[in-house]
Amino acid sequence: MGEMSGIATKSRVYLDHAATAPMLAAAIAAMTEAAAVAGNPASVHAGGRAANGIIEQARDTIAAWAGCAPGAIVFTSGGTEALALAIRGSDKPRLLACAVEHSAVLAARDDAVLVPVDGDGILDFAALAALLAAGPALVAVQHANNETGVIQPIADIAALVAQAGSLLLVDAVQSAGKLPLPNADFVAVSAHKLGGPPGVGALIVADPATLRAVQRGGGQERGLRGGTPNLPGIAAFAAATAQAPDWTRVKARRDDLEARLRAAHPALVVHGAASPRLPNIASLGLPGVKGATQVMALDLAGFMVSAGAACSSGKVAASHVLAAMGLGAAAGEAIRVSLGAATTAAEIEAFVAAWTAMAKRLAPA
Amino acid sequence: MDRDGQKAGARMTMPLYLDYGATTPLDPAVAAAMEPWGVAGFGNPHSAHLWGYHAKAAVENARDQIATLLGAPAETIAFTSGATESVNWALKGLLTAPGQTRRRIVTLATEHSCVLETAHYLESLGAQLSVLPVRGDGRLDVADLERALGEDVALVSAMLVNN
Repeated sequence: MGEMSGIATKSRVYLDHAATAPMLAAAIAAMTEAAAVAGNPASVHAGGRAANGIIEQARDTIAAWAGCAPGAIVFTSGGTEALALAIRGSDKPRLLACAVEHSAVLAARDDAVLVPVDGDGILDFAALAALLAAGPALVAVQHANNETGVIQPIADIAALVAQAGSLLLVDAVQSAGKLPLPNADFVAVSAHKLGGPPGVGALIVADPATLRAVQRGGGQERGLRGGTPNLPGIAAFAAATAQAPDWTRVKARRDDLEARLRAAHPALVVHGAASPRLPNIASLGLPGVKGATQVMALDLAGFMVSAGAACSSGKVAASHVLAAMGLGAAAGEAIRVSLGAATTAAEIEAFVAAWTAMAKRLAPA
Repeated sequence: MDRDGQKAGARMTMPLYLDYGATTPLDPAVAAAMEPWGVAGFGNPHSAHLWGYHAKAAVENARDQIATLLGAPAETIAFTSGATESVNWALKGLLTAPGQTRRRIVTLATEHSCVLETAHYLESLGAQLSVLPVRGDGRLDVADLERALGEDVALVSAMLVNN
């Protein structure tokens, strides 16, 4: 693979861990080991029992990590399917979605009603209460936003939702592995954001009676998700949850990065900075310069970051998240820098130099 | 251990796998193809930077290879999490597509449960369902299919080979 050796030899700095993260060695080892087991977990013979044993052990590991009962975990093909399962499989007639939700939530139902956020990216409680008063609903709120890292006060939101007799779905795809998972009726997680492989995730279901299957056929996952489970993927997902990176160190690096960029270019705006945030995400606004332009300039300089929501066409649209925070034109002028546990001080140093040079060139003071 | 005991022991440690219809072991060539994308070449195919472009190219290269294998244009291939998702999507997607006026699904009694369960689910939502019997040799009597076909049929779902 000439292409692969090209990737490996180039000295590049990856600061897009919120998009996807490299697999952990333990996850690769677990995946390889599970792939060697010949058996469909639904088969009753020795091979099937071995495969089923791996799945159930993984379920136990993930349950201990998530702080839930093993029976609450429904394995899916990832975060998007987990969210769609809760949204399409719930019996609630309405979907109230926070305005900054991932498109996996916003696109899952055509008639989603948006709950606004304030300028700091925090859900508007009064607006949610008013919408809940109109009758039972499924409420979808991200634990932490994928563009700004802003953390929602889930415990308070859960109390409000429960009081109204509605159900709460929390998208914890970005926060899983970085913060303790919140308590909610449904919690969605994805393996590839925390060192596992793409193509596997889970919906944590507090009460199976509130959910019906969306993907049908075979009766797997206690009838809530048909289809042969992704055995190597699930084993690797469990192995990835056993890792505990030092996020305090990552947060110090992220904070240092923001402080140094601000010192170099005082016009810099850090979106969501007044709110509690994930330790590894920085949403950096450079007034007057399109986010897509910044991403391209940094990519050419060897630094991989993202802007707005990268869609399948590769085009970068103005961020609906920043727009919901009331940023207007500035919503199209931000990039997201997301660190990994292995991001080094030298990489941050190099990024600060590259970003500062770019800002000087594209946004002269 | 006596000779018989040794034989029994050998049988115990070398089980014979004859359930390839349920699942097959991962081919070493497939494992080798997966390996580089975990760490060295990881990236989100939707990302607008170099590693994103590399990941996207790998997905499109795979799509081309599979298209060649299947004898289908590459752009007609949509990757899913597996056949159960594919079947669910095809049946539900077709019956609930905007402008769909045909309400009937025709399928066979010997189909996999992902087809039958999805078809019965759509029936519970108001679709019509014809589950055709098969002959004693397990094959469809084409005359039965001809009788079942009509202006109201949206889809015929039939297995190429029974599992």
